Amino acid sequence: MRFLLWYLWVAPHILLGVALAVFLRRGLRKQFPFFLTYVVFDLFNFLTLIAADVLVLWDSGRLNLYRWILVWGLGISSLLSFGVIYELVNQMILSRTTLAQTLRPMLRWSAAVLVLLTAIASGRLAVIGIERVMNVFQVLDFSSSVLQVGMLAVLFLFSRVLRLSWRSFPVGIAVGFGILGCVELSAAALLSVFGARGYAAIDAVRLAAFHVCVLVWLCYLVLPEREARLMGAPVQKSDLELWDQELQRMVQR
Amino acid sequence: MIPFIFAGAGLLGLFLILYLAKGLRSPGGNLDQLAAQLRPIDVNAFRNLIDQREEEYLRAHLPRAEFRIIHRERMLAAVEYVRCATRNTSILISLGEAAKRSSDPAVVAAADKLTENALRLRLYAIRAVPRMYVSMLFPSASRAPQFLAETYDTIVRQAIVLGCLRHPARGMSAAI
Repeated sequence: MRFLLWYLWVAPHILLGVALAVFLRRGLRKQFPFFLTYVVFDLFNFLTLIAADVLVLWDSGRLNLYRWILVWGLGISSLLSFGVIYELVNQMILSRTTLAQTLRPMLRWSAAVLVLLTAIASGRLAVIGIERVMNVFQVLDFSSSVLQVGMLAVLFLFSRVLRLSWRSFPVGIAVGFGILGCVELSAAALLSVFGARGYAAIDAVRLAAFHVCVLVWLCYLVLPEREARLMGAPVQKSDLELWDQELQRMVQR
Repeated sequence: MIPFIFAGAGLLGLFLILYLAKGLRSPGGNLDQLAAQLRPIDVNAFRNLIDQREEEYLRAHLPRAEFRIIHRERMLAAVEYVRCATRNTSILISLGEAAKRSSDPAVVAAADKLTENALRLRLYAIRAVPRMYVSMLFPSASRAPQFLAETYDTIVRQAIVLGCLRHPARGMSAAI
């Protein structure tokens, strides 16, 4: 079990490093600055936790320090993941249509309802841990997962309703976060049932979900973009001029 | 019990996310085949179905019970028109999105206008259909606004123009 946990902890972060290199090589950093920050922070957080884990091996009294780093890391990466979702909303829906004025309040209300539902759900979740730090971790993990999954579902729903097609990589980012969020949500809920004796197993499931999430990102980064193509004869310049006049006449009627 | 419900909700959420994400990517393939799926709509007939004066005329000249039946049938027909128009908009959005990748600025401009209006119509339609159902139960309630027909009319014209820009000999008018 210990080897499996180490593998699930280290391997996805190596893959995340590879994904970061591909991401930078494809020149996507200007398009997805929040995603870049999220990935860089996650790698930094991983290295910090490795260092803290080594410290714990030397001195088990430092376990609380490790846990607080875990909690702060989770808090910051949750905030960054919301930034990534905002980035996706902006790029995939709001910036692509002049209907942003109409859609923005709808999205805002959806987010407000989600925050309310998350607060209620978090209140209903019994936190039974004895240690304060683990209780904080559990509530934070659960609330951020509910919000993340809810916001992604709203984003997908809007895109489906409006028939907005996405480019490959944003789909990959969203699916990765979706898988991670759903599994984290279930894991955080189950943690309150099994308590400390379930830490290892639940941790393995959470880490496996992150592994899948990173693999999804990497696949979408590496796979070529699939594009719809228009067939038929190329348009002539004279025809264009003629139909351009026709366009002006018809649309302004 | 509650934690298990949340855990189940997480699992359901996973299936929902994967299902919703499935249809998000560009469909790919030959969009001319997609254009062939457009269904014809008689915009004037639709306009007639949601015309306020027409409704007032029927209300004034028909017995109350008969008016209610006819009004319900008219609204059902109008809903069917809106549904058909909504289906057409999804095809037109795909066509518009694909045409936006053209190297020709005229095609891109036409595609932009078409996509924009198709999106606008989808939003109108989403709001109009429930109102039409309410109107079936309460004939005095507001129905689909007239601008639904106008918007559809506009996007049909824009689709024709886009079709003609792409294939001067054929156009898309026959399909819509």
